[in-house]
Amino acid sequence: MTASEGCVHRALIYDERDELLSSVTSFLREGVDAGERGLVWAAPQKIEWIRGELGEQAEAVDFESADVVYRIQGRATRALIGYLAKARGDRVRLVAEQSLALRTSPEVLDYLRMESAANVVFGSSGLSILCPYDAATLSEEVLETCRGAHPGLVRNGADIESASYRPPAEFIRGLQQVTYPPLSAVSFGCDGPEDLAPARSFMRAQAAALLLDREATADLVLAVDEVLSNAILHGHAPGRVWVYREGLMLVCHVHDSGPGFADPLAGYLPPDQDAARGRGLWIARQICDCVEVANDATGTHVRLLVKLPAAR
Amino acid sequence: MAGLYGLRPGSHVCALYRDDEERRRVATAFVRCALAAGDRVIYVAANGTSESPLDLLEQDGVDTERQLHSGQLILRKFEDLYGKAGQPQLLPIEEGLRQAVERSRADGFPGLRMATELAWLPRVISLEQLMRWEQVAGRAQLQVGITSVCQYDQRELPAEQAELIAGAHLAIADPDGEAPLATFLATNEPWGLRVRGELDLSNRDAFASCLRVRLEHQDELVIDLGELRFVDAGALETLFEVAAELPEHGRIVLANASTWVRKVIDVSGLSDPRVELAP
Repeated sequence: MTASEGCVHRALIYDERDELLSSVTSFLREGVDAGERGLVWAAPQKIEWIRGELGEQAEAVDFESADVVYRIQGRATRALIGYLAKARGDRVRLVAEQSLALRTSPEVLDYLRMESAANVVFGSSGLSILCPYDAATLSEEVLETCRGAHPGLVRNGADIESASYRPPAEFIRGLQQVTYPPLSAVSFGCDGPEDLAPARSFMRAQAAALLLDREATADLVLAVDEVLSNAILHGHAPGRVWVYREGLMLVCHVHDSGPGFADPLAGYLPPDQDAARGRGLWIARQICDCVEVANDATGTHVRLLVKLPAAR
Repeated sequence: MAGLYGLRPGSHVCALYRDDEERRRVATAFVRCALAAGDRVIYVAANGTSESPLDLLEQDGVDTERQLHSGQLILRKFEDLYGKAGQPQLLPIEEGLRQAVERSRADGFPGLRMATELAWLPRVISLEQLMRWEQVAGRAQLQVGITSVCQYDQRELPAEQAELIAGAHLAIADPDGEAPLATFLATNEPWGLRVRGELDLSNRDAFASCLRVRLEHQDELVIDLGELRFVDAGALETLFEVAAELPEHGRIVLANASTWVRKVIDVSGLSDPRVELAP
C-alpha cells in the first residue's frame, strides 16, 4: 500500500516478538528502499531489537525512546508535527508504540482518542504510521477500541481494513463519559475573570497538600487556568473546579454550565487546525497525563489528571 | 462605595478620609490602580501640604523615583494648575484637561488619572463655589475621559456638607478593594513596559492597551518580565496579536523572561519573528 496525499494509519496487534519484528522491519525496509524517512518510537529494548533486525538499513531510520516521547503522551502529536516540518516534504514512515500496559485506564483511553484524532491531524500529510499493540499485555477491550481508531490493520504480514473503524468524531464522542467528583472532593467556584487568581491560589494549596512538586504544580495551575478561562469566555457561569485524588492520580475537575465543545476533536487538533476554543485543551494535553472532556444535562466537564509523585 | 480598580475612564469619585492612615490607603490604592491600567497619574498635592505624597507612596511600596522618571507619575501643586489658593481660577478647565490627556497619550499612556488633595479647599471658598467647581470639574473630566479621585478630610466637614460633596461624585472610593493583579510600569530607557504581578484573562485587555499605546510612539518595545509571577497562554497570545499588527521591522523584546514564560510560549505554539526573547 502506498500513501497518496492521505495518511495510512494501521495497527499491528501482535502476540509474539517475532511477529512484531518481522512486520515492523518489513514496513521500515519498504520505506528505506523507496527513499523515505523512517522514525521509530518504541521502548529502548524494542529499539535495540529493531536496529538489530534492520542491520545496515537502521542508518536510514531515526529512533527515539517512547519513555521520552510519551512522557506526557499528549505531546506526541506535536512531536510528530515537528518531525514532519523538519522532513521538509520527504515522505515519512513512523512506528509508534508506547508501553500502554503501564498506563492507567483513563490514560489508555486518552491515548486511543489521540490515535483516532491522528487520522484528521495527519490526514493530508502523506505519512504512514504503524502502531504495534502488544496483545499479551492488553485487554481485549483495549484492543477492540484500538481497532476502532485505526482504518487499517496488519495481520500475518498482510494489510486489511479494520471493520471496527469509526470516523474520529464519532469514535471520540463514543469514549466521552462523565465521571463525577466524589462528594468528599474540595471545590472552588469560578464564574468570572476576577475569580481566576483566587482559583489558582486554591489549586496551589490543594496540589501542595497532595505533595505534588513545585514544577508539576505550576504546570497544573496553568492547565486549570486555561480550561477555566475557556469556560469563562465560552461557557456559562456558574463554573467550579474540584480537586481530588483518584488512585495514583491527582484530578482537577472543571465544570461549567455551557454546552461545551462543538467538535469532539477540540484539543486533539493543533491550534492552527482548530477552528476555535480548543487551545486551552491543547495546552492542557501537553501538560497533563490525561485530559477527559464530556457533557451531561448540567453542562461541560473537563478532567485533568496528573500523576502524583509516588507514581512518577 | 466603589472599588478603585476597574473604574471606567472619566469616573469622578471622592474619598472622605477620617485619619492619615485612610488618606494614605486611598492615595496609594488610586495610584496602584492607575499603574494596573498602565495609565499616567497626576497627583495634585495641596498647597503647602505637610507630608509629601511621595513619602506616602514610597511607604506603600510604590517605586516613585522610577515612575517619576518615566513620566508615569507626575506631581503637581494645586495652584500650578488652578491658580492661587483663596482666589483659584477654577474656570474654564476643560481645555487644559483635554490637552493633558492628549499629551499623556502622546507620551505612551493609555489613559490619564488625577488624584487631588482638596481638604483645604472648603476652608478658602464657599460651599456654593466648591459645589460649582466640583460639578464643572466632574463634567470636564467625564468629557475628556480622566479618572479622578478628590480627597477630602471628613473630620473638617459638617455631615451635610460631606453628603453634598459626596453627591457631586459618581461614588465614594473604597480604598480596601482587592489589590490589582498586575501593574504596568512605563520605562523610557529602553522604551517599554515593566510588568509586575500576574497576567490572565482579567487583565490581558489592559496589558494589550498598554502595549498598543506605547507602540504608537515607536515600534520597538522592551517588556521587562522579571517581576512577572504568572502568565497564561491567553495573555501571551494577546501579546503576539499585538506583535502581528506591527510592521515587518517592528519588535517586541521580552527581557528577563523566566523559564516559565518560555515554556508557556512553547506549549501554546506561539511564534512571530517580531517577538524576540532576550537571552
